[in-house]
Amino acid sequence: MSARRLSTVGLLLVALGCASSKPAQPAVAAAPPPPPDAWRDTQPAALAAVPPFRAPVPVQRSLPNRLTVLLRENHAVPVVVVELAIKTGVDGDPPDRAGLADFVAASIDEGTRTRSSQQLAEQLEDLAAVLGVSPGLDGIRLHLNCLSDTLEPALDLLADVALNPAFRPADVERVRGITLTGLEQRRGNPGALASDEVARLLYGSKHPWGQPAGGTVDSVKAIRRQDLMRFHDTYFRPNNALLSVSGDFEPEKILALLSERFGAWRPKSVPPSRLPPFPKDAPRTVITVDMPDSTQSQLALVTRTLSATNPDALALSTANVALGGLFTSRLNQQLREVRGWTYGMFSSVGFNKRTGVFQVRGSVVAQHTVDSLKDIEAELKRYATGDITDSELQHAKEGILQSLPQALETNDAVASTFVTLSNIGRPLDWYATLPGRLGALGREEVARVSRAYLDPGKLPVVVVGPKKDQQGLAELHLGSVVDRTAEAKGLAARPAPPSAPAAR
Amino acid sequence: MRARAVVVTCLLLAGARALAATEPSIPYTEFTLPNGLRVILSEDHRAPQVTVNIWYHVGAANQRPGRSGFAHLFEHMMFSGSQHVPDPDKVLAAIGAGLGGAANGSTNFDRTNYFETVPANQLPTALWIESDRMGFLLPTLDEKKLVTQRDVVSNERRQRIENQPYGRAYLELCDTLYPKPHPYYHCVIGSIEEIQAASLEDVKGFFREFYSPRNATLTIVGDFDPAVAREQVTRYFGDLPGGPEPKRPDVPQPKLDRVVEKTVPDPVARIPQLQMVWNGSKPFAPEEAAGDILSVVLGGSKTSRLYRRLVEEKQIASGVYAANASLGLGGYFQIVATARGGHTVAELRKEVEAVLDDLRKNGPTPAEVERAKRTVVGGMVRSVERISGKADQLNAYTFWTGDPGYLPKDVARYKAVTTSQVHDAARTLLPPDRLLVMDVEPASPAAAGARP
Repeated sequence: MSARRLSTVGLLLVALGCASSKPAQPAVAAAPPPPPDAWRDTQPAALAAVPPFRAPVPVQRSLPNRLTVLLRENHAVPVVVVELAIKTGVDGDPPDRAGLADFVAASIDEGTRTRSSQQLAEQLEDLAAVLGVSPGLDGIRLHLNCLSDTLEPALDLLADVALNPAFRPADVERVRGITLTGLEQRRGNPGALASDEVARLLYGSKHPWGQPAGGTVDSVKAIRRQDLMRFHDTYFRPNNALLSVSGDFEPEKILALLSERFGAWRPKSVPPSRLPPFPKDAPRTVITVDMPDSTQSQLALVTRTLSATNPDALALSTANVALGGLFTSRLNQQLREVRGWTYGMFSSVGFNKRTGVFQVRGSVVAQHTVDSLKDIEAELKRYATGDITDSELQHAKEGILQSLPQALETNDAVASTFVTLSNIGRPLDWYATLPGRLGALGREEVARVSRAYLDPGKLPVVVVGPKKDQQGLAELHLGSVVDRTAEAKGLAARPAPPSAPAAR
Repeated sequence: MRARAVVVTCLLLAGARALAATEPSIPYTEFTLPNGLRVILSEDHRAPQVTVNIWYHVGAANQRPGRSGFAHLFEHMMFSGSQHVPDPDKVLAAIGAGLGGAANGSTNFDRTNYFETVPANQLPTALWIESDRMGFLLPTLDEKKLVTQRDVVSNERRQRIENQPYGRAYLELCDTLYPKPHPYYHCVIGSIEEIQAASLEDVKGFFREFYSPRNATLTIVGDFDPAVAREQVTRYFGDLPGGPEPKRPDVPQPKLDRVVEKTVPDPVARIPQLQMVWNGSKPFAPEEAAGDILSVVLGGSKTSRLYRRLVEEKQIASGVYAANASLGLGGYFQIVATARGGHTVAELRKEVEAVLDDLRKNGPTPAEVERAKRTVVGGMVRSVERISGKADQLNAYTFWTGDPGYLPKDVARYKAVTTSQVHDAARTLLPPDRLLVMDVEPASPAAAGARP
């Protein structure tokens, strides 16, 4: 299927005026009667106002072992989602074990003390239940989606996976082989290569978050079964976890069901994370990775901004939506609709507990790589001035508000959203109270925050594409050009790895 | 590909403790305007929003030779402004439909859809936009708009096909199973040369032939009053001319008559991949449900035959899946196995063939079939939790079966599949002597000698 735009990308709108104007009609000799369709020239008035959307807010409980439980009842469909979130992820990777959290996530559902990998999968499928495990920078999520009439046996399986993983050597080695294959695949994928370069620029080569996603060939080969078990024993603790539940459950029963399965989970003090500091601002650079056969170049301009709990975060999000987050933001309009060089060019912001990321990202046709960077630089000047019109601001606010019902429509999304809010340190009623805070946000405030945090003239640039199409790159004066092709593709001198990892 | 996914009735009983009904259905009402536009309404008052979704019964299937990619390019033109709505994106953004995929369109082999989710009280504006591009696209169409979108779509192809590992194999699949002049050749996205060859006259002719009330269905799902919705739909669409009686494409499905073997070099893949592809069925054809269950038994999960054999036991694959893709002019059944580092397509093929031989000979177990059926029906229960999903599903059922209320019958169709039907499907849908076998090999010079 082909779509007009990637649906994962934020969309629409230019804000140059309010009413749409018709093209001028050619002059005619006699005044004609008004065309029968003239009434269509005017945008219809809205119907009567509707009550505002109320974003769900969970009820918070805790089990005696300090496991926090968030509950949101929703009987729309016969489904219950239970997300068990561990509050340590890639940030728990030791320096020489990049990829450990990912490895734990990939192998934790490959068998428990009493169930083999196949038995576990069979029992989940027999319930039509789906269990997914996803590692993140600041946590690991075990996400269960089950039908409400089989909640109890499905919860048994979730608890068994979380509390009693076996990490059998054969399963570990199988996962290792698949992981190494995935790492090799990333070396050929322009988007993956760009993302790894972005992570290194943002967090530094000493920081767990600055490592290639999933680790390196060497680090993954170095991970032992004991590392997996130690990670699990250290971080999979009720005092370092959260249960987020949304769906069609019986409220008077749910706590008992959860207690029966997670109540005996023993707390243990979790070591504080000792992460290296983020890198200091460096002179601007342009990182290039040569992909001679690619027909496009992946472009990224990135910087750290501020943490999710910073009072300026909402204004920064709003500024980004106005300037580069909408389909009709000038960035996308210029590169896509005026130039035709891309399928989409957007900026985005994201936040976590420690920092935030601003990123301009898109793919452009290879022969216009340098032209595109020149256009992007020109469009980004507005970010540094905070020059946003009233209607741009209004449309950004409206877009954020009206996207909430869809963003929080499914039980999957709601359960995960509660976990995210908790992980990044925002209050659980963040979305319920958002309309008030957003309404109070003024243009000056948004402009100030944009000026303070978004200075794209300093942002390092990543270009993954054919080197032959990069003539004139240095002459843009975006900083010194550094070719990291060998490092990024893992071609730097290293003895040829054995074809299969040794058993451990 | 037709989505197998569906919905569930939302019995929203305020304050009730009762659990939700487990048998899915989507309640609806419908009417047809005198110009032939079929309209389907389904109330869902969980949130103050409505989604408007139009299916035009046109897709790549309706393209002419030399115009691959055209139905999709045309879809882009529908966002370039119409006579009374010069900039629909701007209007949508002003009412809050500017983020998160709230408004978009998509084109596949057989149909094209356009949709937007808007605040409930902005239903008239959504209908205003959709009716204007249905009735008044051509007066403000010009060459400049077309030139821009030809380039944008060319970049879409580069981004989503050429620069994705194994994207080129997908094009090879289309070209082999649907050789020119079949309208599916080059898949939906088309070739850049033919996208660039599209003219204004092509756009005008396509619009006049396929974009009319008689060739569309309009579905509204969400928080609305049905009487108001009917009045508003009639106001905006009632006076559009009905258009010609729609012609359904009727092109015979080319049939493979031997084993076709191809090697596909892929510059952005670093790991070899095996694809085995057979001629497939049409949506809702009698053999479709058993074929879907067969795809799950073969390669739909960790317990599937191929996963167990290739990933777990032999450990020669890093991933495997099977899919039964039903298409209006005849679909395809596909098995895809990606090697584990250091292993070859020849090894993969040997094991896939062993799995297939066994399944053809002995059939699946009743437990396997039951498990696969639960997986499929479970997907139907949960996947249209969203109003946008329900709207698209109502349109899909209407397009393919004529019955917007088909969901319970669809569930029943899968529940009725028997073990022996799946066994038959393995024998009849996957003949060993009539298929396409693709060996996708890393082609980048950088990849040589760098495999783990």
